[in-house]
Amino acid sequence: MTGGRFRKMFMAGRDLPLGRDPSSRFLVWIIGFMVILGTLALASAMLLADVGRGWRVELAGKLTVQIMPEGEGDAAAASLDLRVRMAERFLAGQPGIVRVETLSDDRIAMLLEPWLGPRSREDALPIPKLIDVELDPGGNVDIPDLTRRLAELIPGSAIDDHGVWLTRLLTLTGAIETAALSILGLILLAAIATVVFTTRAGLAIHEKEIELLHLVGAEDHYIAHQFQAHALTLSLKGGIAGMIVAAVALTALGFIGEGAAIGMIPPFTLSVWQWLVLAALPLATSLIATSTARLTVMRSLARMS
Amino acid sequence: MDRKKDIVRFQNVGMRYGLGPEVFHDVSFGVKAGAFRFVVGPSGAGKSTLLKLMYLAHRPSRGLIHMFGHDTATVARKNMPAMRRRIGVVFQDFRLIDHLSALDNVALPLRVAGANEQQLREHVAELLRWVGLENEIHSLPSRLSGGQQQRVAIARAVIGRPDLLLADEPAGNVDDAIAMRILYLLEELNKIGTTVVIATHNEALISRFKFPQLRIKDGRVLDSGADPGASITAPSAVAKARGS
Repeated sequence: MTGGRFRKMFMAGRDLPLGRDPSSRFLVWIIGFMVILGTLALASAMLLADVGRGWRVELAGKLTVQIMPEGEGDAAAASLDLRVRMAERFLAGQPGIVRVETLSDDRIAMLLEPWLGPRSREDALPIPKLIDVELDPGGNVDIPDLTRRLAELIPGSAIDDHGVWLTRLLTLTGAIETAALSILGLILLAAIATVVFTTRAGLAIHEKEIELLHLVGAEDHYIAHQFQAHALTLSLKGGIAGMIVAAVALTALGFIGEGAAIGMIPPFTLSVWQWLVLAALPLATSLIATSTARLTVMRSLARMS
Repeated sequence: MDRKKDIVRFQNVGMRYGLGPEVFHDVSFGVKAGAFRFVVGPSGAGKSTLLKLMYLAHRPSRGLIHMFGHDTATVARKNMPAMRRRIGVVFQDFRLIDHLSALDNVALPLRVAGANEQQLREHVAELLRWVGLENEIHSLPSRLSGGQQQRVAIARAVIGRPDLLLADEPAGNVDDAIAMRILYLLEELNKIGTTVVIATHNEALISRFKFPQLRIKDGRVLDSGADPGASITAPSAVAKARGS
């Protein structure tokens, strides 16, 4: 857009007293609320996308080997330790495996604590041993074959490549993400409907002035300019105010979420790029409002004759 | 504008509002460039409707209207603004925009035509001085008297240097002294080349002017005679305002 056109858009004639219309006051508030909701919906979608991406990166190329205890007492414990060492040796010798690490009892107890509570260490529950295995990204390990051979060597062992539950979780987060983006889309549609309604109300209220402008030789785009400049001003006011409120809310959620971040739930923080995308939302809303106002006026005036 | 040509030509024009009776039947007349015409008839005879047809606010129910040589029925919508800019209108109820100053009201035709803002302000201020409103340039219409509003309306009608000036009861809301002043003002504009058509029911007032009349009676228009044309004597302020 050239400087002249940009200036013209903001400095368009104010022959029509659109600012006095009752609907004008509401438009600022409505756009403001819509930008708050839209920003929160978009931030949620971006955070969920981050969570899904984080899970995929975190768990890609990793396996967890589980070896169940057999029997009770010291003999069983000794047997479990022996089977774990055998599994370690077997796994370390397989092509495509770069790291094998058995989780300590304390680490396992800590992982189970959210579900079993602090007593899990004292309880005589049959806790399995877990071996964390890291695969070579280019190793192309045949997981089913590895599972079968390990089970033959060490009865009671199992390999979890996290695929099943990760797929379910990603499906869930994807559905929530889609819902959040759909809400954003609905909010934008509602914003468009509001601008159409407000613009039509303005056309009806200022029918006489518009007729006068036509009679003194105004072209439709001259009249449309006034409506679009008005819509731009109001939507920018509402949009920026809404963005500020949403930014405060997201920052507060970030502080609260920071303390609540556990395990695979990441902290509630946005990157600079994500903030920039959110900051573009009021601008996008203003552009949509401006274009909607122009189209509404041009179509309505074309129907008049 | 070629003075020999009709600037306005009605051919067998009929006009009705909705499904109501015809206001006019088979109206035919012409107004030559540079002419001065009165449209007379009692209140409700259809004077305003005749003017509305001329300033393209209405379309006729039947017949042909040629404005500036163009059949208005075939003029594309996108070309209407350019045609309307050739017509200045003084509305019966002035139709000034309440929240705009006298200057901004008068500037409207130039602004919609995309005129330079600085030149526009100079011309408008000069024209307002010419109509005696130099002290009311920034006044809102609500602060002006009826006569002053009338003069703002006239200034707005002539600022765009129209080829045709239409005035609907320009003396309708003012006393006789101001009414005469307004008519002399319009006569001056005619002398500098503007074709003027004035609708009025006040025949006593216009009896001092020897211009031909279009008399509306029983839905028909009687043309009282040929156009005498007009002499050209430009008052300096108007000449400047017209950019000459």
